Amino acid sequence: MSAPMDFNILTCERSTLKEKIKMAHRLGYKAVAINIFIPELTQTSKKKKSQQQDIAPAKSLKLSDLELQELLGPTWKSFRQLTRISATLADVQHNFVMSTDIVQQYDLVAVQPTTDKTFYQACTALNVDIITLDVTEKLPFKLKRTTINAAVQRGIKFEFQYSPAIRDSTLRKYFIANAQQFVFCDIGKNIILTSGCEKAMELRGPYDVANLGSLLNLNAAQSKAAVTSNCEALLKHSESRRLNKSVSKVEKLEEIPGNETWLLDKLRVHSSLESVNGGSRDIAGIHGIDSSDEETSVDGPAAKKIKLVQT
Amino acid sequence: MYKKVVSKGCLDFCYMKVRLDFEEGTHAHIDIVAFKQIILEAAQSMFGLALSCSLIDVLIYEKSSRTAVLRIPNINLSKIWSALSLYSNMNGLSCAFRILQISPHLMALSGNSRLMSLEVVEH
Repeated sequence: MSAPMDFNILTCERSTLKEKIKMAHRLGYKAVAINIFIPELTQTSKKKKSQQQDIAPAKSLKLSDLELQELLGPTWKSFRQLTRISATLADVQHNFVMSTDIVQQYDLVAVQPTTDKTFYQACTALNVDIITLDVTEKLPFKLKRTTINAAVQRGIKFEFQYSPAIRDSTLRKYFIANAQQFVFCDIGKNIILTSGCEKAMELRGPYDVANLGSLLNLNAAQSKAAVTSNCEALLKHSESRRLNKSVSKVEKLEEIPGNETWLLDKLRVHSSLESVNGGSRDIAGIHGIDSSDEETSVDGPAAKKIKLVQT
Repeated sequence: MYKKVVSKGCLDFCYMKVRLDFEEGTHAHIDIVAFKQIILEAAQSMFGLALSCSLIDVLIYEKSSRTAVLRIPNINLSKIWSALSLYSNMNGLSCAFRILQISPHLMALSGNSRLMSLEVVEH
């Protein structure tokens, strides 16, 4: 099983949040996303400026490195914190907020549609990572395979929270019913299971959560993927969401045309900076640059300083 | 001296090591009978009478840490596991079952590499 992740830890008071993160770490999660939930997007969106001030900047959610180290002990470096924002979508017209800069700065962006129209819009048009399906009531819209497929092709995952199911038996009923209904439409491939917990005791270990998948008609591989690999795919998706559409290309250094030699200069400065910071090994490994050669021929022209390792 | 046993397919029983956790600060004294009662209650609230009638044995129970080893028929493992993980409330006290180890062999529960802790020496 690759690294399990929990992408929904609701933000709350600092002490409770710390407790939750500590519990998640103890249960074996390798990454958590701290989630800020905005229940009503429509009310404040009339005034755009005041709306933007309402949303806290992404960095303020995270614990600082020092706090994390205190909390988790020596293994804190392997633990990742992410930020996530989620909002309910009631009206099609108010969704421009989701594409504003302050929202897109978050690592993950999730929406919870409440009507047929917003569900369709979220699946086909909105620039988001996650679509949350409500598990506390009967699904307010009809699930259509074509709509879901459109979302799947754009790399969006559907999220189910399990902690309402832990809290209460009626909610448990809806959780199972809604999720089964979805799995029937989707064949169970694009689901992530997250906690959405309010207290640390509501967190469950990754294997327990994976086992809950069997209640939702997922098979063993799919339910494991719901905690691990689907989450990883989401991370990639969120990265691509924040970058503009771009293409990367691999080229030999000797074949670079004359008008682009400035690139080499940039690269040299970059790699020498990295070597000062002690990260030269990684960079050299990725780009295939022999860093030892670079140091010996400091006085040569820029093109010679960085040599591609022939493989 | 040693006998080689080959089993094909899955074995009849699964052994599960579970711990019942409460929130910090609550003092709950639970003996073995109450512990089994809780497990049956969890099974019944999730799957009804049909599951709570099935064979669930508490083999060992340690009162101080509220840790037990259960023996469960293999076909019911997934159901009981999910029933335990969705259990959260005992008489108003919030609690959680932590499943520590699962194995088809009882012998495998004798050791746990996850409890090993490495000492970090700081210079």
